[in-house]
Amino acid sequence: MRVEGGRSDFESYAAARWSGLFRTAFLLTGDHHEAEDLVQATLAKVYLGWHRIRHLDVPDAYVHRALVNNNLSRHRKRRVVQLLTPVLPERSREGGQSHVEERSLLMAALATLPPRQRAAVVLRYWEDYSEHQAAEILGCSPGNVKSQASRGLRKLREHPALAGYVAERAVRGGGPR
Amino acid sequence: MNGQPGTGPADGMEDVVRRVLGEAGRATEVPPWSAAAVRKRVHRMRRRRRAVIAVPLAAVVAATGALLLPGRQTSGTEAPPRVPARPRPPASPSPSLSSRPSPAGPLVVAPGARVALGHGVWVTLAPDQYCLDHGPGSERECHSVTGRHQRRGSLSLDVSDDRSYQFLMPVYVGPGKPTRIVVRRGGSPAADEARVVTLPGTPGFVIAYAWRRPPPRQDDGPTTMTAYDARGHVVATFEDPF
Repeated sequence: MRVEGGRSDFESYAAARWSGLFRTAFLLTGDHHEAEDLVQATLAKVYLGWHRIRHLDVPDAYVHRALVNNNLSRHRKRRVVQLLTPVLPERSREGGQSHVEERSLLMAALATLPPRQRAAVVLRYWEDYSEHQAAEILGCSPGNVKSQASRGLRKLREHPALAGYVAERAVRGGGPR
Repeated sequence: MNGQPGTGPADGMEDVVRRVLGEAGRATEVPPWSAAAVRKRVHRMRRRRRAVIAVPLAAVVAATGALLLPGRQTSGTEAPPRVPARPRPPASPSPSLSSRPSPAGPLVVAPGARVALGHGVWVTLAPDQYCLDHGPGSERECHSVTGRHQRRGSLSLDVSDDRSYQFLMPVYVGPGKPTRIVVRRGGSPAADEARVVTLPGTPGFVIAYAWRRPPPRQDDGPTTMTAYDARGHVVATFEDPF
């Protein structure tokens, strides 16, 4: 590693961001190993450009952009695999879902979203990025983020794993207003 | 909110997703940070970059040798010539997959005209956006140029690929009038000349496209681009390690 004065700087930065990036990667991929691989590969690429990236006003946005783009690139190359993977967990019909069950339903539903929609949903509702910030990361317009996130939410709502859950909450009046 | 029942956040779906994503994210067990693992990847990527540069150079040397010795026969012990992977059959007349400069000049199109880019991809330009589609039944993907987070006078690059081809789409936003854009990826000395598609006059942006075979490795190194105007002057450059 030959980036002058950058190595320890980079390692401090990466160590501080590791948990957050890993969690985002997990929500983007739905798989621990893939998430770890994605973050490591992204940070390695960041390192190669660190002499430039470290001087950016908002390196985090750049690194998130790299993470999301790397993930999108992987998705394109694994289209065939993607078609084989979605498996929905059996949903309890008894009502009263546990948080763990909610999470597994959500992850199953997220897995069916096209990668850009999934990224838009994760950036907007997990990272709490504004449409403008998410647009910068995804390299598109805020309007495009808005429509991708909205389509993503619609698909999540219509997904068999979550549709019943949302309806149940509406009947119980438990959904946030 | 778009006002349609069940399609906006009014039924609480936005909040449900926010809450459950938050719980899922926080509940995720995070493996320990390993600087060594990242360092190992950096070394691997650097080795790959060197290999990517070395292979085409070797090919040039071999080709030069063949030209200097026209009567030379290929023996059974020599490596066979590399047969390129067969690209996906084009759905419409398309540019070939190659790294050769395209002889065609910029394609000037009317606003709203649907232009075939090859391999089942079409583009439509408007004064404030460009839209890509993949034929009947596919969703049109529109990208605003005015709302785009791209500095005026700069280039950006969209790349999509699968196993058989890679679609490169440079986008220039600014007052210049690029007529050709050259893309280099993966530290390779071979360049892809993207064909410029533009609206008449000075529309404030141009798009360009090129098809190429995917690089042999996923970690294929930095991308650089240069846009030139009709007189060969550099209008904009781009460099991105991703």
